[in-house]
Amino acid sequence: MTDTRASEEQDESAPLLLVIEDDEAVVRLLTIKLPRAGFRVLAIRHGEAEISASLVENPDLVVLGDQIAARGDNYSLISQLNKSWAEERPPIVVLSSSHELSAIREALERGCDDYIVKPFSPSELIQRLWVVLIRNRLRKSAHAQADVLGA
Amino acid sequence: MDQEESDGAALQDNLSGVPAPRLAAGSVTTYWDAHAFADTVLSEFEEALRSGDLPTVRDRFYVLAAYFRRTLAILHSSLEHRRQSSVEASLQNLIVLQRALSAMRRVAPDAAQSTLALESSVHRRVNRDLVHQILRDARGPLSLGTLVRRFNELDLIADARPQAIHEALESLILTGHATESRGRYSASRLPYLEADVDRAGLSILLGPRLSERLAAAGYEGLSHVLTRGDDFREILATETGFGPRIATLVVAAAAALVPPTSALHPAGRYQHADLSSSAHPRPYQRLLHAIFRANRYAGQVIEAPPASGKTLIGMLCIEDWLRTMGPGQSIVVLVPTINYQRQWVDELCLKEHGLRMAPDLVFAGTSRELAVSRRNGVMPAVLVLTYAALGRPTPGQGVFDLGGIERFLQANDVRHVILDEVHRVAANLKSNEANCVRVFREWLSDGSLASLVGFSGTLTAYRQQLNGLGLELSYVLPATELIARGWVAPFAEFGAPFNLSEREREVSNLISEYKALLLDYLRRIGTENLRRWFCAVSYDERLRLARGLGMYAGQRDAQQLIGQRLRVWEIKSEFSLNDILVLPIVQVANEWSDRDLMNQSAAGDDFDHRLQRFESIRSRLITLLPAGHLTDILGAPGFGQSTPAQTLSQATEPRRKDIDEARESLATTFAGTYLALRSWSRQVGEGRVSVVKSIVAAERESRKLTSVIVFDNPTLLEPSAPKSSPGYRGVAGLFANLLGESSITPMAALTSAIYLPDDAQRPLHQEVADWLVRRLILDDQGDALFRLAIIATRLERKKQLDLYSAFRELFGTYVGNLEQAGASSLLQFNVQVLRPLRKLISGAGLGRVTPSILNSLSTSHYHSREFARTIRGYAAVASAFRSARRVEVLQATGRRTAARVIPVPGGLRRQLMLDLTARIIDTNELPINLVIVSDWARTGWNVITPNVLIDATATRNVTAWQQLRGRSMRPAPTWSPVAERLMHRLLAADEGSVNVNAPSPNYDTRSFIARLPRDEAHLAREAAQVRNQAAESSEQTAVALMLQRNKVTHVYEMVRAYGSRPQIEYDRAARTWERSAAIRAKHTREDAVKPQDGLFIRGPSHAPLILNTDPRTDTPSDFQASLAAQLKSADEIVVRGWLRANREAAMESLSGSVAGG
Repeated sequence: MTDTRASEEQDESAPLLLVIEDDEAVVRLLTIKLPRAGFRVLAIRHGEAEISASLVENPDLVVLGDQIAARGDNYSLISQLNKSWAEERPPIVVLSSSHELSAIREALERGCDDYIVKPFSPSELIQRLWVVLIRNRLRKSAHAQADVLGA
Repeated sequence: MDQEESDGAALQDNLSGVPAPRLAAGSVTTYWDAHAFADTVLSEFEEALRSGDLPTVRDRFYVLAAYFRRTLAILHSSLEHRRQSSVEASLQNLIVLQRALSAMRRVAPDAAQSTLALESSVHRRVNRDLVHQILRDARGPLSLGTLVRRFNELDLIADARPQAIHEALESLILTGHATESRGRYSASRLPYLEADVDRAGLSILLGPRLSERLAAAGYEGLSHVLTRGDDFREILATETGFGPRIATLVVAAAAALVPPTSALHPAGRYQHADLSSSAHPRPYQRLLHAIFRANRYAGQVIEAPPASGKTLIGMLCIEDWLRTMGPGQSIVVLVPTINYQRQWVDELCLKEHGLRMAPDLVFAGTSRELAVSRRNGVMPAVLVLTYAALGRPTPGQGVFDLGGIERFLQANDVRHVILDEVHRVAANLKSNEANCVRVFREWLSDGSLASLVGFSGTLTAYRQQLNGLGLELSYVLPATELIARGWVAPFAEFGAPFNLSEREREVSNLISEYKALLLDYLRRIGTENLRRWFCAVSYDERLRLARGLGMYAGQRDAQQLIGQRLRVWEIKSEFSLNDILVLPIVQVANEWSDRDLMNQSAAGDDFDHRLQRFESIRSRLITLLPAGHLTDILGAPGFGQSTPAQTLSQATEPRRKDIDEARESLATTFAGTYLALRSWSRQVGEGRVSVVKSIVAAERESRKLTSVIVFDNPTLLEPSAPKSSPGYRGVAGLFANLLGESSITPMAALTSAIYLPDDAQRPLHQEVADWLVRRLILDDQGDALFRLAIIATRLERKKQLDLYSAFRELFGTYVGNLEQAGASSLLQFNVQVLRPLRKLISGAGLGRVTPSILNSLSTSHYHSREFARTIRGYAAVASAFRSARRVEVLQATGRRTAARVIPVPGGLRRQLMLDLTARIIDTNELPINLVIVSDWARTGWNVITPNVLIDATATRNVTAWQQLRGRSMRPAPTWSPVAERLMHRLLAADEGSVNVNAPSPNYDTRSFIARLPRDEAHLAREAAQVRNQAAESSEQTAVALMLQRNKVTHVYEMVRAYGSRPQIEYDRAARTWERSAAIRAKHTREDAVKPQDGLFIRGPSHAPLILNTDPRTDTPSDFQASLAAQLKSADEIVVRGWLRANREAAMESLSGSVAGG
């Protein structure tokens, strides 16, 4: 089932966050809080078709809810995202109820950029999303400079 | 005749059989107040419904509906003529009437129409719409009979007669929207536009002219007013010139007119009682809820007096919210203490007239326990937490934990928040609790929270601070109305000047006499002689002696000050009593007695005569002063004739003990005795204590005194010492000096200790411990635990009783061993109570309800854990009472007595103990009838029975005092809902009377009582004593009812009438005594009914000073006599005064109370 929401009246230059989350309450909170913090938000529920469709939007960051893991997908979505975007893959932040070290390690080993445990503080989440975004931009910029120098 | 008068008179002419609205009386404009009337008609409606008396059901509905229509007309006229007070009154009445009409419609839709349909033009349009809808939905043409049947089956408005349906059909045929063929009707294909009820509703409310102007400004219907309330205020101000308070009431009235949420969401996911449709919410509770609802619960705060039923308003909000809440979403109720937590759980789950929610849906505990419960799959919908529990900082950090609060809100998907007693937060804007509220406000403003509302009983001192929290004071409920109906106890205030007691005054006079003698003695010796002898002593020696005698002791620059003083004395032309230390310095340096000194001055010839006069004063003082240090000094042998001992310390900064010894060594000198007597003034206070006793005695002389609260400054009984001599000061001093009074059994309660009298014959501390175990643990906690476990199971009565007796047996055994070590642990609670009970229930064949009960009786369930914790706490408190330490107390009069000291621990047990003090004073099973408290006793201290409150601090802590004042005005436990209803009827019955002191011409007690339900008739008969009196005014019966069933609280403010800074002063021009400016300022916003004449007064004179002749010379006995004389019949005057205040000042109170005006 698709439940796509994008906040209206947002600055097109604001970073676009793709939120893949099945928990209605979390989606509601994120679609309220994140736009006020300067993000555009595209919230979808888990589902291959929906996710594929959303990828064309070229999000700047993906917030991944933990229902994926709960369904036994075992972070296969992360692999799919890695594959789809290759080097252009936006950073991924996992939002999960599990605070087990093994779950955190697995997420980070698969290339996730941050892992935030639920229940979460929206203020803290926003700070961490900005950090991940800025770090990614710096990394991209460094790569671009290296490419220029290499050329 | 004024327009309102003519409106009222017309109404009276048009309606018979119902009380008439109040009329304007003389120069004071008064307005009809619909509360009592609506309540009475509603209860008559419900009673008729219960008994199946449909004609009366309809009659009552149409009576109220007629008032509704007429009130609308008055409103429109008042709006047109810009009469603000009348607009306010009409709007408030409309809300009240609409609520009552809606309640009627909810319980009897066949008999009661929608309010909107009451307006004839709208009624016809609605009929037409509905008929068209039926025709459109029908498969074929319909006969008139079928149409009428289907119309009435819609159940939207009252049953229609065939004639009305026929009229609608004719109208539809005329416009081409319906066709008729052979007596059967069908809808045509012509497009049909339904009536805009939303727009019509606004027109009904505000009249066609104003609603047209508002429509032009973009406000076309009720929904626009409700959804754009903030802008609407401005538009209304532009269009009418009325301020925000009118706008608030218009929005509330609009909210009352639109269908309730229940109509849109008839069945929410949570089961609960239908509170909003019941008759239980009082009219003003519905009004306040309407205001919240109209403002969409967006940060409004309502101030209503203590005991006015704010929790029920909160429950109306919760009921509204529950209907639309999704799974996992929650409502948070923040309360100041765990006592409040328990009250909310009781109201939400157990109270007959509450929401009766399943206990699993209501959580009370800490946020950590909540997290555990959620992990275990328990998803409560209402979370009752203390401010402290939520705002607690991260352990070890001590700072506000924003992340913690946000995580809490997110984890529990909190949608709605109620802030109970929000003044606690406003009192300290830097507190963690205040920061929590700011987070809520922020979440509300961005939509993360749907609702945030607050209540307070005493916001007066914090109105400005509310803005700092982002909250808005929306409405202040006037106390007069609540008092007139007994929901708040009527009260009167008195100023009680206190002075020195007779004994203290005699001591004071003798000391003055001694001073005069000493001054004469000083002059007789001669300044020149003294200066010469003084200068003959070396400077170093003088310095040593001055230090040793404690000159400027304790002051930081003592050395410098002493040096300056010694130099001044070298050149001083005349010594006064301020220079008295010069004498002992000379005497000690020269080893001279007073006789020696006089001999040296060649004035020794009259020494013996002089000595005799000093001795005479000394011996009289010894008989007046309590045995102790001062009497030891006064009794020192060799007075005037012995040389003072040279025991002075050599130290630069001598210790206090050495100074005291040095001073004592001067006891044989005239000057030394004076130095000791000079400190006596610091020990006075007997007059203060005597006035407290006088108040109690005068109260007892003139009426039934239930119990007394005294508010005083916190002082201790020196808890570390086995003996205590607290003097007269503060809580400990007052308590100590009330011990042994025959009619007073005092208790003192401080945050660190509770004091009880020690009585070997009747060990009170043991008695309290036994009572606590029996009543609070076994009865209260046990019964509440059992009820919470079975409340949602709907077990039949017989099974409930069987289970209850088994539970009582198990619980009784457990409680019997509670105070043994380890017996109160959660484990033991489980082993001895829960587990056997679960076993019993499992085998009892209770069917489907078994798992639910078993779940409630598990140690993992938060209610069980909470009970276990409370029971454990009470067990510890009981043990503390049993092992109370005995302390010998030396009263200021020298009498020896004893007290028991129970230390108060911290945390939960402190709250339990302080709550316990209220229960102790309220119960008639214990002899304690006076409790002395300090400033801890404010919000949350739910004391009920005391009818006397004394502020013995001379108004030191204004905020604490105001809050305590509110505590003392809870209605008596005997003021029942039946008494409330009867009071409503009595007030409504007397509304035709213009002169409140004259009997209503239309009132007849017998016929009035004959129409009452049996329970009310019984009370009314008792109050009116109709066997002896054939008829009287309903007000007289109302006063008698209040005096019999409720309490009248007398509040005394003690004011100092002596010393350098007295708190009362004589106004020579007015020839009256008044409070000092500082005290008067405190009273500016306070009001009360004066006990002498029943006049409602706002400002300082609301609390008359009790005087005999002159407060400077009046003795406590004089005071007692004056007070006793004033108290005679005072309560009747006070109650009558409040009824009159409610009648005559209702509009003034309203005008002054709506915020923002």
